[in-house]
Amino acid sequence: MTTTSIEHIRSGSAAETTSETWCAARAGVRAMTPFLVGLLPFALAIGVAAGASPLDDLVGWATGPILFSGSAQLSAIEMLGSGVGAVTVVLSLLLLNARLALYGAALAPKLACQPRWFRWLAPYFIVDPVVAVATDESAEGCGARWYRWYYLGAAVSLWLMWVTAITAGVLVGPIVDASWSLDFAAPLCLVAMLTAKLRDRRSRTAGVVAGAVAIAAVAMPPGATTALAMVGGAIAAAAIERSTP
Amino acid sequence: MSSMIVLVVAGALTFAVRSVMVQTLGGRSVPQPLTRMFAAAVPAGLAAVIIVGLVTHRGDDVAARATALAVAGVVAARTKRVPLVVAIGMATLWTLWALGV
Repeated sequence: MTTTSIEHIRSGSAAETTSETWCAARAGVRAMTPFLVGLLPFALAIGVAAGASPLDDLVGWATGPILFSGSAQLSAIEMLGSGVGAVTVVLSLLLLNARLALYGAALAPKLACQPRWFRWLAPYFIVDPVVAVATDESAEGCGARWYRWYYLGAAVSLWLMWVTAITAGVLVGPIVDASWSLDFAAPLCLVAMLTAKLRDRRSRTAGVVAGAVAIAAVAMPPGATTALAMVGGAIAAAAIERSTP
Repeated sequence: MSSMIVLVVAGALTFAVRSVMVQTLGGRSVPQPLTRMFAAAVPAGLAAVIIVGLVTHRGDDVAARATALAVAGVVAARTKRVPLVVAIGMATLWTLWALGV
């Protein structure tokens, strides 16, 4: 084979790879887009809270890129702004985000065949919408490269919207009257994500038991309640699947 | 300690929480009961976040919010269209507020 034809094959293969990469990234962005619209008011509300807090605006804004977790960000702004001790702040945020470890466990099999750089980058984006999109049935069976760029398309689009909206909230302040409670769109998005996951008996059991445990353990700190409810739901689902012949 | 340093420490530990299972479990064979448990983590986590957010809400409109979430759940199950779920959920909440619920 001549050098020219080898170069032709190489350039063709590179073009196919680039095309596949863009195709996967676009699919990830498309899967995330409906949630971007719903989560936008929540991100704006976090930015407004950061701007209104006695905390330095830069610190309030930096909760977005550093923590990248809505409820933890609101808690951080509230606690740091009211002068709560450093150890209490760090432990409270860890408790609020403890459930993310279990999300990491759910994603671990999908990330196992990925390159090392991606296995270190992907966990930074682990948060409810990204995990919901990344565990979608449509993301399976297309190969490791496709999955990698699908994940990045979904995660980076959420990250960009999140940080941009927080910046707007800090700089501009309340754009919409807070009495409209537009941040309620965030739990509505979570309901849409949850409903899409309730495909079988196992997932329905997980959801119902987690909800029941959350109500029963409401007296505990919110982060602990969430983690306990999540573990309870997951254990119940595993148990019911085992007992099913 | 400055607020930014506290935030950076919290961010580093949050990243550790997010990545610990990915790094620990990656490529290893996990006992079957744990695999089943991890597979159910996503619906359990979403349900837990929704319910905890509802029951810890500071306000006297918990019933209105619970109803709006239930209506949104029905719309989501029937249509699978997120913008419609959000629109109908918000409209339900505002209607219930207007009715004094």
